[in-house]
Amino acid sequence: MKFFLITSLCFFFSHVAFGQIEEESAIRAVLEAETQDYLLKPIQEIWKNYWILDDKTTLFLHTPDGATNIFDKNALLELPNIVTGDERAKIERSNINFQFFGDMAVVSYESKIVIQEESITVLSLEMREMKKVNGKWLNHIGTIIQNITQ
Amino acid sequence: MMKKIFICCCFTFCLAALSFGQKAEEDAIRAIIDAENLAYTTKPVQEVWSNYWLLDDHTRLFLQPLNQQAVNKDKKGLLAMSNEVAGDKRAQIQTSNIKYSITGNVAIVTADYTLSIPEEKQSLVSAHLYLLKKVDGKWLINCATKMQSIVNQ
Repeated sequence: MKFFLITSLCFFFSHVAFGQIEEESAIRAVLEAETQDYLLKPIQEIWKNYWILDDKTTLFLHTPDGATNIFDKNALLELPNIVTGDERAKIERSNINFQFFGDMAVVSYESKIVIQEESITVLSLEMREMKKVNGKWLNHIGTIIQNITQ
Repeated sequence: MMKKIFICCCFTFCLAALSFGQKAEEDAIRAIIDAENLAYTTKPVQEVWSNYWLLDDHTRLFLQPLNQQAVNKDKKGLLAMSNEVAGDKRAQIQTSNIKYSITGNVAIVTADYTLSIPEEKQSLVSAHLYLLKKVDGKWLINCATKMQSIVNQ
């Protein structure tokens, strides 16, 4: 009986841990794809593919020139539909931290963006509230703080 | 007929109770984040963490101070900060554009804070994102991003 209980408990916890790792991988994949698309695709495709746009959608963006931009759903949809990134950029993500609350997740991480040809390195601190909709993780609220280091 | 009226009344009562509950939680959260912002101008920072923050392995503070490099602090980093008053006690703080998403004991809140010092001609606007958790009936900040920029008056 004891053996059965312990085995069941181990199975339950490994199942939970495996589920968490699976969700983390799914979120990493979405963030990775979104980042790559910033470098290559017009901005409106980013909102369409990776964001939930509703009355609480918010993107706070602090750019290296010191400006803070606050975008709600309407402001995001009004942005000119051009490619905003630089396809030469190499991006590394680190110190990623996940918290899950059912179909909602809060993710924070650091990104290092390097454009070697221009000798530019940008460090970015990012925090996202993401929601799982029809099995896919999407951004809902995001903050991006960018600082040039070189 | 009576049964229908009774069901309608119950339904209306439930909706009103839910709406009242949501408003009460929003007010409680608002009180915490307003108090936290004000506390920087009057109290040493370690008091701010102990009164308004839930410090654990997930704690993060991303802060973009005005004209300085951004700061990334976890629990250890916050506790290692010099215990001084970080703000200016003359500052007047106003909150705007506050939006809440509350699910059980977890809340995501965005808000803009305007800090102005009457003697000076510039205001500071700070855009904030918070993750709060309700612990033992009290809302506490677990993660936050704060970005400061100047507004000329």
